[in-house]
Amino acid sequence: MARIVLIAAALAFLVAACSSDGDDSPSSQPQSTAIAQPRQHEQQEQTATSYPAGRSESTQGQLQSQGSSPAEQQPASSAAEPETEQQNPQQAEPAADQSEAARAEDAPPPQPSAAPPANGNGAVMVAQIIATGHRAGLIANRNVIGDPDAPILITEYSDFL
Amino acid sequence: MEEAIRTGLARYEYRHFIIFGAQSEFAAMATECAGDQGAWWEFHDEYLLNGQARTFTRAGVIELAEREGLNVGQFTQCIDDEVHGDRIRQMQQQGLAEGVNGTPTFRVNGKPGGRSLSAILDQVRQAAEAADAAEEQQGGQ
Repeated sequence: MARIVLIAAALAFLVAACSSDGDDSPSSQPQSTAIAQPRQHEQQEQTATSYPAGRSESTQGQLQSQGSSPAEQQPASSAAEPETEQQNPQQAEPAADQSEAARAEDAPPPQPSAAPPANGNGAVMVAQIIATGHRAGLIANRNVIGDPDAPILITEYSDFL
Repeated sequence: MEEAIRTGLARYEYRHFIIFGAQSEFAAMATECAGDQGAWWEFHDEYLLNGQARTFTRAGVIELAEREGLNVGQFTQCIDDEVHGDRIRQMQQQGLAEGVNGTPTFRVNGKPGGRSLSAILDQVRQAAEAADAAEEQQGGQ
């Protein structure tokens, strides 16, 4: 009988000892916190690197949509480079793809140009055939009259007053 | 001269050469702005054939633009913005570089032209003969 009581007491102690392993003991708390902190820091780093990468892309997109020359883009691109270098290439590629897709969607469809050509001074050059008057039937292009391929050019310098 | 132009032998170019100041420049500007709407020669003729003082004023050229059926808003903005100022000044500079010092001054293929119409026509004939000779030489080679 005494053996049975001893065995029962031993079992009870074992059960109690096993159940106490699953509880949050004071010694286990610092360990779990120490593991969790690097994860949070990692997330903060990812957020910090992905945001400038996105801004850099949009800056380049704006420059391209404004039709800036490569020379004008150079300072902005070089200023964005340090931020771009920090970004994870795996994160940057989808952003670039999205940006290009957005640009392609925003771009207006090509339209045939109806504007007449301009000369070196910006004046619109429109050849026309004069319909009335003593010049009827002649080709006129602003201040020039006659066949543009004619071998002889007669120039008159004059003042209207 | 008209025959030379009609037969495709020659072409004629009018270049502004301002010697009477702001009014002349204004008339040149108005003509160039009219040219944007295909009425360059109408304005040219108005100045050289009629030449009324009123057409050298802003109100006068706007009246003329209305009479010619131009887009007056576009025409007025063109004058006010002096859109063709550079073009007119470039013609002036070109004339000065070619030795022009009075109006009218004619040139035939860049060479100084005569003062009279017959003198200019003589030059045109000579230039035509020279062009024919050059063409024959090219054909012979």
